[in-house]
Amino acid sequence: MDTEMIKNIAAGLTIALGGFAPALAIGRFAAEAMRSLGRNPESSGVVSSNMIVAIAFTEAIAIYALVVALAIKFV
Amino acid sequence: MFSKPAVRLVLAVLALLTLCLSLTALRHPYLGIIGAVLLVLALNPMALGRSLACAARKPGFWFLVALLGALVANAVIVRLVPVKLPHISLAAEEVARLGPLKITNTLLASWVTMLVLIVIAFLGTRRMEMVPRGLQNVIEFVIESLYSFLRSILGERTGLAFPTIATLFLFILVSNWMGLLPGYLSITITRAAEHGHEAHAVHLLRSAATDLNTTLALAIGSVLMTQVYGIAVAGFPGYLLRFIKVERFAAFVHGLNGKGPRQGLGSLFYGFIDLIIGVLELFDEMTKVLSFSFRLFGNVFAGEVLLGVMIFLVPFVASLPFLGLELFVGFIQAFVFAVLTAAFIAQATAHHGAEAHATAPHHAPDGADERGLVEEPAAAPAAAHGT
Repeated sequence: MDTEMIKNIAAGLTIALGGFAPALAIGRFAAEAMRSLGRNPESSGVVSSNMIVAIAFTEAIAIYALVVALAIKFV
Repeated sequence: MFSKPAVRLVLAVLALLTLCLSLTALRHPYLGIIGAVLLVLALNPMALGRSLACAARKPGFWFLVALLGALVANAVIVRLVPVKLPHISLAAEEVARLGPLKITNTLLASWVTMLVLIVIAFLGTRRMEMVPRGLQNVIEFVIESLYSFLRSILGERTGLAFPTIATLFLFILVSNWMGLLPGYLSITITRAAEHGHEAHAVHLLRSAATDLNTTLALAIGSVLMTQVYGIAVAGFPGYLLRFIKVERFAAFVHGLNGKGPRQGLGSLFYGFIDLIIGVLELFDEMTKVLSFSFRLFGNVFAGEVLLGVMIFLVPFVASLPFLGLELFVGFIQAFVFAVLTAAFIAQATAHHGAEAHATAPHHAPDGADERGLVEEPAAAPAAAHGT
């Protein structure tokens, strides 16, 4: 097991594991947003903009994992 | 053939799979896909028992024809113009040197972005008219939509913070979108051999936000301006009280003096916790810098890598949906950067009681807010909001 192999495995695992929880969280955001839109379609503007901001926060965590994976692979 | 259309469909799918598998034995990547699409086209009328003329009236048929044409053209063009795997480097590459100053391709791209923004602004405001037409109209539309959207977050501080937030939004948006234009990452120059490395080809232009330096600078600027606006509204000592929370201690002491209601010892305990929370808020500001910069950097850099790899894999066809994705992501990242900055400024300038003298007078470009947003920011009293 040389360094190259471990680096490749590490890069793949980093993004795979790191993207798992944010994806789950974003799915739950979207589900709750759909539920509240179904209850009150008039609140679509407020709900949507807040959902986008919350999704951007969670996606940032996945992006951190991606950046680390890219750094492992290319640096 | 068999009578039922469903059976015919199943047979068609099976024949298609067999052909794909047999063609992959030829080790030609495109023949398999092309054969599959041809089969679907041919079997479509056969499987459903209709004639070719009838099938030609359906849009799905023409979509398959277009896909087939794209794949054939792809296979032909790739033989003539080979596409290389892009050279991906996390750090920006240097293209020129002015003495000690390294000019990187991302720096060039941000200069181009600045030039574009300045030229548009100059051309649009040269002969300003009361009833805007042409470019002035477009610019006014963009500024007005931004302003009315930010008004729902910032309330009466919108006039104060709007220039910073709008600049951040427009710069990141234009820089991200320009990174998708032809010329970025395709034009390469060859750097002469110098000490340390031999002659190699270097991309001339690279989207500005793919450099961690750019995004770090934007993030530091944003967080710094947040502090500046907080100090502008509350005064320097008043703003420091945000990080050194002594309100509960003051209330406790007032209770002892008799200037206020008596507080229990729990108030003292929570006062110490408040101090720790204040220090944590200071660290929160540092984390904001990191989170801003990495969010933008990760999204744009990953998009660039994705696009490069997709173009290498299936040139001219797979790049189309991914370019669309990059357009969307570029806009969302600019939007999120601006909205988060606005939210943090709103948090920093939340001031107890309306301080009318501290805010710059602003005339909200009016008309009802079409988005129907009804949420009030934390600070602005409803009376001053004046919708």
